[in-house]
Amino acid sequence: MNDSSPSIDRPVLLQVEHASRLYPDGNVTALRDVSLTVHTGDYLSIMGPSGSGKSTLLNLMGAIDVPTSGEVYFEGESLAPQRRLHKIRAHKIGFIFQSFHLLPTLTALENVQIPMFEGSLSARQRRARAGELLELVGLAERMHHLPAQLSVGQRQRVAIARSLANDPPLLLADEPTGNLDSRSGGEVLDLFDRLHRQAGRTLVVITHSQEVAERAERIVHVRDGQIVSENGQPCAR
Amino acid sequence: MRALTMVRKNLWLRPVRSWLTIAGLAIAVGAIVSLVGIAQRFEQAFLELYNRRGGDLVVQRAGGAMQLASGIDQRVGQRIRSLPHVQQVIGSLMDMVAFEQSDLFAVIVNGWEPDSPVLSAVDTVSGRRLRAGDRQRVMLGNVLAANLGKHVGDRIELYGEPFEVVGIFESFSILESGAVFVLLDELQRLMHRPNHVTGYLVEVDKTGGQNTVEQVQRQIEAFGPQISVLPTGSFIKSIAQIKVVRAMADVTSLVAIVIGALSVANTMTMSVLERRAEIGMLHAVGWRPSRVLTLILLESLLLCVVGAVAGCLLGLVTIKAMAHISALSGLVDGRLSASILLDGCLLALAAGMLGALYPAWWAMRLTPLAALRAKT
Repeated sequence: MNDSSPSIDRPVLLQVEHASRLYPDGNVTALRDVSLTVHTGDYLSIMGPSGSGKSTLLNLMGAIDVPTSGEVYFEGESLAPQRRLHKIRAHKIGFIFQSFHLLPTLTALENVQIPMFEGSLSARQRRARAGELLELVGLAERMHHLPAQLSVGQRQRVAIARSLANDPPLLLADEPTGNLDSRSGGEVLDLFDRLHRQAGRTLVVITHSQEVAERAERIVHVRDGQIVSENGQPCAR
Repeated sequence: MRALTMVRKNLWLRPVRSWLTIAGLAIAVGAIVSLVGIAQRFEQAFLELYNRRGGDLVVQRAGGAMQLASGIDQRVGQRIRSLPHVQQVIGSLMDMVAFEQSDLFAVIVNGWEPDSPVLSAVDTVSGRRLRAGDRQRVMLGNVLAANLGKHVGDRIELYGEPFEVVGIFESFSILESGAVFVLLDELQRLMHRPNHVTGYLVEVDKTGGQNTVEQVQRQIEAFGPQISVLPTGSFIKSIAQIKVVRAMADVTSLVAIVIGALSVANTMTMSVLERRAEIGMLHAVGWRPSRVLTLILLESLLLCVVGAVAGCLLGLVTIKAMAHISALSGLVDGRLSASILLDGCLLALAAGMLGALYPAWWAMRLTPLAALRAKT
């Protein structure tokens, strides 16, 4: 067991307890007995080489995968597989993918509205909210453009706006700058900073890049399915 | 954005494939509505003809699978006329001939008695009616006359003999306006069936109550087991040719609808497979599985609605075109009922939903992990 989490007064938002993830198909143990606590308002980056298990950890934290053993709690509630995880994903977690996953036939404004179908907003309200979010990410002028008509940096900003659609307390980003040039990547990271500092969002970012990781307050290193250090301090094994 | 906008735009992602699927469905629906329409019009034409001639009962030889091949002795007609409550008895010998040079392969020939009410009921548009003693003379329905290009005074060949056209008539029924009328004894001679008719149409005086028809039916049935008596509606449903046409229409419709369903299944399966990452993303951002299922079903439904409408239009055009084909113009009148069009649409929608069920279910079960693993 290793829990790198420091003791902080802010309430616990998400807790991973002794989580392991085995993929029986390839007989691969992607995560081994990992524990991690994320507090409300944290800005955490998870670093590690390819195959280290960091994406698996993000998937467990985002309720899109379940541990083979151990537990994940969100706001104190277990994300056990039988629970209606889609509700948690819709209202509590915003996902930002490396390859954006925007629908190519929908405009930026329409893409941002996709998660809102799970909410109670009317079509008019969805449109207005999407417009506000695109303004927040600096794309008010491009809201009627299709993804193909946007630069990769702009596409990632649309994806960030989409992740904020239902105002979730937690944002999870999987290599958010992996497909971007340094300038676009810098813009995305500046946006994350604003979301964290000004709006108090909790952010968990997976990255290979030391530069990206250093924007976060906490840097967790993962290797061979285990958390090996946090902020440079080795974790007890 | 409304859900339908997303549905429409998803289909527009692969416009050629969507239009090809719509075309496939349209052809299936077009085939169904035109074939079933022909079968139904054929049946309705018979029913209308018999009803307007005032027929309550049809008397034929029992056990004859093919109406045209069976016959009944004319003495039976005399006995029926003598029964109480019988108002009118119309006997007719019927056959089918071909005019191959004019591409007409199923022309009805009716042999009527000179005093038959049928002869006086049709409108003679040129020439005169047939009268007793007319030998090697015919009347032609106006549709048939137009298809053959014949006028009063011209000659046609029937059973290898020349016949003079003495009159051209118009009838409310497509079955008569595409037919040849000759005198009964002349047709009996040509068909070597002296003193026989194909059947009798019996009109009953119903002032005595509704069960008078059943009474007369029982009395005629008492003539012997070789006599079959059926109410007009039941008789029409029993006509072998109508049964064959209806069965062919049903089988063709079934094949068409299966092909339509497979076409939709193929399109939607391809669409879902190609969009795994997008569908995974929908799951990842919290769409409930039933919403994903509904999205795919709605996409299929939209394809089917467009296909069904296009198919109905295609069916209408087809049946209008068929009415102008001389070989069919005596049998097809170019009309389609609203119920046939509705049935065609419902079948298309059912096929679409059936075809989309598996891909929609598959999409519903897709895990959000696919979004992270798949490449865009």
